[in-house]
Amino acid sequence: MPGLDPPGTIRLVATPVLIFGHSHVWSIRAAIARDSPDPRIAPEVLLCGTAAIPGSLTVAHLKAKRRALNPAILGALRTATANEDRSDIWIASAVQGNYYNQVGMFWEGSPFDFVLPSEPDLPLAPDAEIVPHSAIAEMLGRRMPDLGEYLAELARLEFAGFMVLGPPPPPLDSEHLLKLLRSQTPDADESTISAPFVRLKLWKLQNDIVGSLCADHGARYVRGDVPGTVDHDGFLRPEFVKDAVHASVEYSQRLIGRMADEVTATESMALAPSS
Amino acid sequence: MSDNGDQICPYKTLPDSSYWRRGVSNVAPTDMDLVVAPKFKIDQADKLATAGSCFAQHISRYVAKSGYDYFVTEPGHPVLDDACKRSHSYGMFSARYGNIYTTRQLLQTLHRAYGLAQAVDDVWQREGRYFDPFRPVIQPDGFASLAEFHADRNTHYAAIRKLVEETNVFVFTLGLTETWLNADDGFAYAGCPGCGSGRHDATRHIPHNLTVTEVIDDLHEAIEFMVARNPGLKVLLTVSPVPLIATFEPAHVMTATTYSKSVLRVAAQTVADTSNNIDYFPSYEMITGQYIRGQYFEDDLREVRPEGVDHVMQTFFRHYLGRELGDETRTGSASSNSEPDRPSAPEAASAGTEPPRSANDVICEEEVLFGV
Repeated sequence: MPGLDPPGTIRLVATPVLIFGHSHVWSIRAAIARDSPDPRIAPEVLLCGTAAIPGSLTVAHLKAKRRALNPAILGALRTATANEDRSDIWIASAVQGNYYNQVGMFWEGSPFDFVLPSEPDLPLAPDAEIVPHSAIAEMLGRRMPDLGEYLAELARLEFAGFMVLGPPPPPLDSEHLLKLLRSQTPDADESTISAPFVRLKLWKLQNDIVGSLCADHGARYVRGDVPGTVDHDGFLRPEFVKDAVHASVEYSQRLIGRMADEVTATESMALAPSS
Repeated sequence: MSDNGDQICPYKTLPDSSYWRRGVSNVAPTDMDLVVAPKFKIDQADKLATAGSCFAQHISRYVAKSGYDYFVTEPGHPVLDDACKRSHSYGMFSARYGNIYTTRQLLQTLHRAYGLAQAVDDVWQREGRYFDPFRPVIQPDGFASLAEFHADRNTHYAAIRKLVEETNVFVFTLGLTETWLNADDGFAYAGCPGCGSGRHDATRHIPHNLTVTEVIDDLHEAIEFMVARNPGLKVLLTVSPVPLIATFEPAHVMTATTYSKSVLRVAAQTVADTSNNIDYFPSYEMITGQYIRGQYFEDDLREVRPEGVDHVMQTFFRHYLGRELGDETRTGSASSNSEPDRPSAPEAASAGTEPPRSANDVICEEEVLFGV
């Protein structure tokens, strides 16, 4: 009969992935608009940018002792899935992510560095004072005080799966960082930019912390060092750099592929019967 | 000479402080001042460094808040915020050596910092983390890697050398005589291995109660070591009034405490008497003396009350710093020693800045190590 697939045909259904987050989502949205990045998932950006998600990730719950999800995020997810079965939908959070830069992108004064336990052979900045890794981790952790509660609330929504998208790795050279620095302080000295491997280690440490939190709450953590976008040391390759902290649309195209990898690795394919 | 030719009793010319009735019984407790003749003054420009038992942290705190130059050579990198510095024991003392309870620890710390001694049992490992046997609790959960462990230790040793060579006044509070030694090299651990940190090995970890001779010799050698590198150094010795938390001797902890404190008191005086640049400050007597009838101890008869700390520091300030203790430097009403459960780290004194510490923030590592 016309329209019937031959026997044995399996039609794949792209898994919807609802994406929300702060500034890193802009290039994801642009990547989605540019082409169909990956047939395995159907990404859709719900919220993008600080204006769309004002305030903290969680807010005080009126009745329960736990925190509640940021109302903008909760509202957007409810609206997007009002008539949908959440068990077929994934969510992807790309909130914040700049903690490591807040700690040490710029540093005026005697240089510091630390030993990353997972990669103790990464170079140390010359003449830098070695500070305890646990101290840096403690400071980074304090910059994300409600991230655990945020992930717990996302898990409670019982989507098919949820992932957290990590920020892109830092660039090796300081061109964009200097531009950012001088946009705020025109006569700033380049020496206030932390050494490249210090910035990379801070990024890696942040990934360790956030990855661990994700594991605690059943979230898949998608690290930002997407294959093909980083050099042999792990810095974001120049062709994928957009500015001091953001990556390009081309990067996000590859990131979407990684997201699809996560989805297909953790759930069974939706099978559509031949009709 | 009296009118009839007899010599006057030499006691007749002594001041009131030399008589029990006039110097103790008839003196209001809060007016008690046990310092008679301080050997030296501390100028505001003098760098004052501290080390010793937990009681010494009070001195650190008060001096730092007073505007005097509390000399901290290992303040922690400024990228670390105050909370991080607290939790990682920066500023608790002038360098990040943690509590140094015995004279043996002090001496070996100096030798190690100058590369003159290397411990056989140099690093402990537990569940993938690394710990310094001589500073077991200075860092939460130890060091994450050997590379970090050694880098930190190098920084620490450099800080100790800077302290030795640049400080003007070194205040050392003697805390204990009971210690645990490594059977191979005689190094004194910070606490008994296996009690809160490390693993106990009865064949390698030997209990030893330092004798008065040993404490005197250790102190002499440590001070001479420092003075050889810093000829103008002045040293102020005190004895901690805090009783032993536990004794390994087959004796009651109270009698063991009396022995320890007696040894330390005699040793401190013996060494102080050898030089005009070494003095003894009687914080021990001020807290434990009969005149105060035990009121400077908390209900557990071990922790020192803030009022006691204030009294001690008032006296210290008056005689050595030449000023009265201001309200801004007083402790307040909270208990002045560590909390019974694992205490939080003290608020650190960054070099030259005021530490926003509370009275509860004294760390007594022996309490941590014993899980008290």
